[in-house]
Amino acid sequence: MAAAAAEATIDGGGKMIILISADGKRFEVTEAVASQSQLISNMIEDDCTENGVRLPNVDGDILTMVVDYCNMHAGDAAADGDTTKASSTEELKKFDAELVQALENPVLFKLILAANFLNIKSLLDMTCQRVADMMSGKTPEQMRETFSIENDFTPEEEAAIRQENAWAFDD
Amino acid sequence: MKPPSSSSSSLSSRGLPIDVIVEIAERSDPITLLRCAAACRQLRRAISGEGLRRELRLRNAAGFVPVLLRGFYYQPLHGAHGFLQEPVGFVVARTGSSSGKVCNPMTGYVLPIPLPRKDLVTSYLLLTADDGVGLGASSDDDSELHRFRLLAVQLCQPANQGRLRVKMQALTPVTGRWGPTTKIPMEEPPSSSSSPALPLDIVVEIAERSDPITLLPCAAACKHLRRVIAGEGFRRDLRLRNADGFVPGLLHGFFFQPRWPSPHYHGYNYDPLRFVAAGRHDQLSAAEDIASGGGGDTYQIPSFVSDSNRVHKNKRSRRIEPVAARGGFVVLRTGEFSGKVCNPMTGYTRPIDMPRKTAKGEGSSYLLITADDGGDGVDVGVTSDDSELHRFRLLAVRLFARTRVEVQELTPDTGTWGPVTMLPVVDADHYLHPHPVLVRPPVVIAGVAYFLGEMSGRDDQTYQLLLRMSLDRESLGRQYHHSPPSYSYFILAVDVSIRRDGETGTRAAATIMLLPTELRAPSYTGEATVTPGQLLLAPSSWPDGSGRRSSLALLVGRSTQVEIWTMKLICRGMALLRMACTKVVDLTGVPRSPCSPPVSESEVALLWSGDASGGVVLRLGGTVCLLDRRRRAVVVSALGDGEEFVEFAMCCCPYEVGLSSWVPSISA
Repeated sequence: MAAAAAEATIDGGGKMIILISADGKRFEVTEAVASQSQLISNMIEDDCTENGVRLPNVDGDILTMVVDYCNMHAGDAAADGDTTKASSTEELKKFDAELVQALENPVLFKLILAANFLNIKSLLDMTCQRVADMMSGKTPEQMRETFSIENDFTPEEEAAIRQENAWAFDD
Repeated sequence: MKPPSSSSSSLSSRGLPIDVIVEIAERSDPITLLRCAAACRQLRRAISGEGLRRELRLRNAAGFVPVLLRGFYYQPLHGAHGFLQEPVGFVVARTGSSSGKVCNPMTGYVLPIPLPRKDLVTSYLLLTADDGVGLGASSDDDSELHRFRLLAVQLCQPANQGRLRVKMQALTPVTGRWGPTTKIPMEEPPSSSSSPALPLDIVVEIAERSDPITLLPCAAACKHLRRVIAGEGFRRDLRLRNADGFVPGLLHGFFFQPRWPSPHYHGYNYDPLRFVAAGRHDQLSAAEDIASGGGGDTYQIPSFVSDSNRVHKNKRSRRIEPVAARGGFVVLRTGEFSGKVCNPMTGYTRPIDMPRKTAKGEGSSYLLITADDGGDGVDVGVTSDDSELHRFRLLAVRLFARTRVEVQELTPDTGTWGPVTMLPVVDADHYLHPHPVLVRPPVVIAGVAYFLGEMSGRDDQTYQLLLRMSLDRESLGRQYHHSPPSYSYFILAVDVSIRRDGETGTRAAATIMLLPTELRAPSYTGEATVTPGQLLLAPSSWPDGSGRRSSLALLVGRSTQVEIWTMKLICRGMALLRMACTKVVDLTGVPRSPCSPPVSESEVALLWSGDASGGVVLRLGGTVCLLDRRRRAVVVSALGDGEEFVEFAMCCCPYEVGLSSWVPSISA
């Protein structure tokens, strides 16, 4: 791990990138940390991160969480030559669990959108799993409400659907 | 590229027909085309006609035309110049800090335009006739001077944190000036107060991570979700995700039927069949109401229950005898020579012939195979296609003394059994006792069925009998004493997959794998032993690289814990390399009624294991409880609050739904 980190620094992996949230907050992260986002990784390849990366659809408080997550998961690629903190798998799991457990719907959804926009697969997976767990036992109506889905079924169609798998709807 | 005219002349002195020349011209480049069109009237008409242009576009639409990439402009970076946009033929170039030009190097078109000062937020979009109809750029009209539209697009957020907006300006080519700015509000406001709406493809991502029972309400939320969830791709993804673990929600509940000793004859009277939903034991009476046929209900399982109760008015013959249950299907014996295969969830029922029972119980071990057993390159001969009427295979497997396995398959169309296939038992060494029996329900993993067998031909009932006798063994003396074989349990592996690659299409042979001597049948020597009831085969999986590999596990019920022995199988699952106890689930915390005596080892019985749900039903003395393998804990103690379930003399059949028995029933 340490060897890899040293090599990354030589390669310019220690270069800093500035992420700018929708409300103008600036976050300075290393390339290694930011590269967990496929979007930013592509931008780094294309060399267009010099003046900072504007993320017009990610709020500052959401970006704080994303940066925290990326810092945690980038292992010991910590920026300013800090003491290398080898985050164990256990710690990571605990961190992840705490991150999503505490979140309520609006923030969680925004985090999903940010993970989707930035294309951070592991974060998207984790946040989607959290919502999936929360969906258990909900009725179609509650699901529509949660996801702001418009019901485009006619009452007849809806009755037919409920009948089709009646056992799943006996709420 | 050579002009087509020269190539055609080299081909033939007589010249090519004009339509062939047009064909060639179609494949050339615009400059060649112009020259071609100047060659003669006929060619000019053909080339300037609408037809050729359409043909070109069609050819374009089917793929990419490498010829359209004409080359590269390049310029050493010492000036302020730089290309902004270069789609199909047109180039927008910056010529100064606030000026630029639109040109088409191919046609020689040049239009000077004003360009706003360079910034990072503005994108320029060139639209040409190639981008389609209705975009305001056309190549059809020769009178059209400027065959492009140029848009400047900016994404911006107002200072007051309102909705994101797109600012768009269009160039007016006639004047060479930019038109008025249009502002388009964005659909999704990432505002900080309200809950944002997730795009539907993310909702699908979430649905994929839920369980099948959550999925159905999800599929009922709107049309788009329903279409996606009912699609084939979704089912595949779900199965893959499912493969790495258990979905407890698939265990739907329990059929059970209490029985009472009859006062009139030797035997039992049977109560009507009942169904208790898993995790909802408090609704017992409600389930009973539905089961008794009240109120034109559409619930499938209660209708199955009331059906079987209506058929059997006689208290003695009301008995329900499940002989196999997997993946949503249940095989019931209904008479000496008859039975039926049903799927209580879908309402499917098929009467079938059943071989007569032997004195020792069912002579065969019945194996149900459903579409859930297939996948990952394994063909088990069952699919979950909508066209498939019978979504199962039913095999009757018998093991004959040390030499062969006989397999018969049901033909669902007729309800009769097909011819007997004889499989020689490979590696059946001399350890195999002359009278082996298959004692526990089979498990299918990657196209191979596994049966637990016992060497000396004693099943669990025999052992229970021996146990009772052994309590009196002081009085009986040790007359039943005989030396135990060194191995007493074994696993029979039978390949049940269908190979369509080879010309033969036959199954591989059956093999016998011996279990270690720690797990040996009770004898009178006083060593640690297990009865057949304490053993149960179940699927398991372990992480393997990126995915998980499925394998076989043996659950061993002890008085205070359940041991999970995982096996390492080789030779396509037909041979056992090694096995070891890898996990233990503690049973000491299971609350039991205060008056019940401590459970002895032989009173622990593993009744059933769900392949998909990971639920294991076990009996501890008089208490029946459910163990959740995913959480590795006993989650439901004393099913049915101990009342009905404590009665040992009853028939209990857990009912688990398979993935394949419900997904296809989502109509798109």
